Amino acid sequence: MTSEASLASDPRVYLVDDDAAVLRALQRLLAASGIASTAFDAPQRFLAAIDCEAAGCAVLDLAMPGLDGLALQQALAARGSTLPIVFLTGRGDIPASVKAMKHGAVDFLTKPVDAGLLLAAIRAAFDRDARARAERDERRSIEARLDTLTPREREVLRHLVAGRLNKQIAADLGTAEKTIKVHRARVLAKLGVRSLVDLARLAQSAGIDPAAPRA
Amino acid sequence: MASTLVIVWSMMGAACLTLALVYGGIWLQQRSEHAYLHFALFALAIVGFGFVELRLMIAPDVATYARVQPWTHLPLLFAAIAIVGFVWHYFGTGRLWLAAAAIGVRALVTAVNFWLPGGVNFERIDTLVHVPLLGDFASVAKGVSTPWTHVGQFGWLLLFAYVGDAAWRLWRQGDMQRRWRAVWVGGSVLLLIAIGVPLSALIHAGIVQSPYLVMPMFLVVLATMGYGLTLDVVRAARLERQAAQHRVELAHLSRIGMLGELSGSIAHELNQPLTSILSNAQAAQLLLARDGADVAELRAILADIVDDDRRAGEVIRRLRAMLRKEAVPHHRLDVNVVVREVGRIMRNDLLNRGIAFDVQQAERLPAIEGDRIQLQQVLMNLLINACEAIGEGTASPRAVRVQTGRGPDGGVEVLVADSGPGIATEQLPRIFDAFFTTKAQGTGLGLAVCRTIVEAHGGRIWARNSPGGGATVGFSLPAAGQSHETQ
Repeated sequence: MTSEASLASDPRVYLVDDDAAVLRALQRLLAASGIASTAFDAPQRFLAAIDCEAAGCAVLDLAMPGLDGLALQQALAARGSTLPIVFLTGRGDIPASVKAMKHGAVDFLTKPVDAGLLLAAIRAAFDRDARARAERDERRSIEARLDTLTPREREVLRHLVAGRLNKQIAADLGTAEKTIKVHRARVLAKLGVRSLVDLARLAQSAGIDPAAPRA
Repeated sequence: MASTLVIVWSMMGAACLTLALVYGGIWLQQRSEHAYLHFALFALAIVGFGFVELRLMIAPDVATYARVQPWTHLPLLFAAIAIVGFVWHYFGTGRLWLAAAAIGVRALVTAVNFWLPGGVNFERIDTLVHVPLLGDFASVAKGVSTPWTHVGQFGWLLLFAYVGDAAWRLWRQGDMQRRWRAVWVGGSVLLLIAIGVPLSALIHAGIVQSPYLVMPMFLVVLATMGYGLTLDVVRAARLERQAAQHRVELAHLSRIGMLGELSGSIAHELNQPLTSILSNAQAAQLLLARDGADVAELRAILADIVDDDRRAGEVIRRLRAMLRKEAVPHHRLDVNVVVREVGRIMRNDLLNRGIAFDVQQAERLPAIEGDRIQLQQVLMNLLINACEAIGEGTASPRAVRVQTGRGPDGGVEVLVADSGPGIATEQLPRIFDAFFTTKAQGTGLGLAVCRTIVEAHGGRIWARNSPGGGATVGFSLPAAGQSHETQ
């Protein structure tokens, strides 16, 4: 019951439940609350349609034939999806809820679920997803900018991050101080930072090791 | 004035007779326990022997003594048979051929005894010696004994071998209770023969001048056997009480297990429609909170809610149909039999709680149709509830009464009345509802299940407070052949 074939990057709720009536009711509830949703009546269909770019969160029924909610959670993780998950369950199953929360579920709600609780859980999941997505986007853009550096510029970058002066770097790399100055200006321009402090923060979030000073 | 010997021997005879009657009575209750029968026979044989022995001891002349003497062998034969039978059944082991040989030789001696003119003991009795005994005098014969005396003693030795062998086998089976039997009962029989045979040999040889004194020796053996048997009876009663307790606990557990399964599936089946009803209704509330609600959408929501409600009703209906169809085979039953069976299982439980249990069964009730186990469950449930209503306290009276009788419309009726505090009036209409409970640990399903079962049998269940205090819960069932359809 995929109402939209393409999964847009706007945050939406991916509803998975083997009960069509429940799906319809939840979709209505979300629509009335201004939340977009896509419904799947089988976990396998959801797995086939989802990709890592999907934004929002998943609301999964814990007990489904074929692939239960916990197995679906693991299958999603195995595909590298970071989509936050809210579980719905028919009974207060404590071991299953502990397991689900350990694997990063946002919440574990008992059916029949109150709209307030469900919407709060979904909003929390959206927030978590947005944060994770923003971090990932930033990391990606940094990586893209780092990729534009030449090998020489990368080396200069590592020395700069280590807090060394142009003169010291020139001595280490066996070149003129003026050349280092040019490299340094290019590195800052390519990476889009204005100061050494910004550069250091960027390098740290991209996981770049400072160069060890030559003895 | 009766002589001391007459008094003492009569008292011993009376003691043996009492034991024979007691254990004969126990055997009549438990026909499969042959050890009790053989014990009673042994006691009777001793009574017989004691009578003959007394007649010998008070015999005034040789002629009387010679006339009575052969009769000693008949009770001895019975005693031998009874000992063999007792050991055979009580020990549950032993060599058959030894048993047969011992009895065979004793039977042969008894037959020869009546065939020989003077019996097997004496070829000729010369004179009677009066030996002092218990402040009295006992007649003892002096004469020439026959070689058959040795055959008779050989028979006792065979019996000795049989009992000794059986006791040894029992001992080797290892557990304490068996070893105790082997030593206690086997040992006393062996001791009797070990003392009795040489003694009678010495008496017959004229070396010892003494009456046989078989009766006192037999009485000692009888007492040790009886002690062992009594302990067994007590032990069996205790085991039976424990078994009954376990049965009750088991019934309780299986009932709770069944309810657990049932409530699990009810929970799942009902949750789905309830979930969609709630979400639909809350979606409608959100839509209505806005201006210009979409009427078509609201109509669709309401239609779905109605559908889901029907679906939930269908779940309940299916469950009831399942209970009805699968679990109510139509057997003809006598409600009194069901009541008796449950009474047997529960009686000890009630007595252990210090509650008097009274069953009043009406005669000639019509047969009903249904499932015995389920109806037992209903009754057991009502009895457990009655006990719990009475509680652990010391308030008196503590009594539960089960009464059967004719119900309305020609069916039958079963009432369970307790002497507890009764049911609060405002709770009366709700006590058969699922999940309604007044107990801290209650599931609130016991009476609900009772009602489901009774109604599945086409019957009705109700509760009221008895005029004299306490509660009465009753159910009626239609007679066999009447319609089962209530819907």
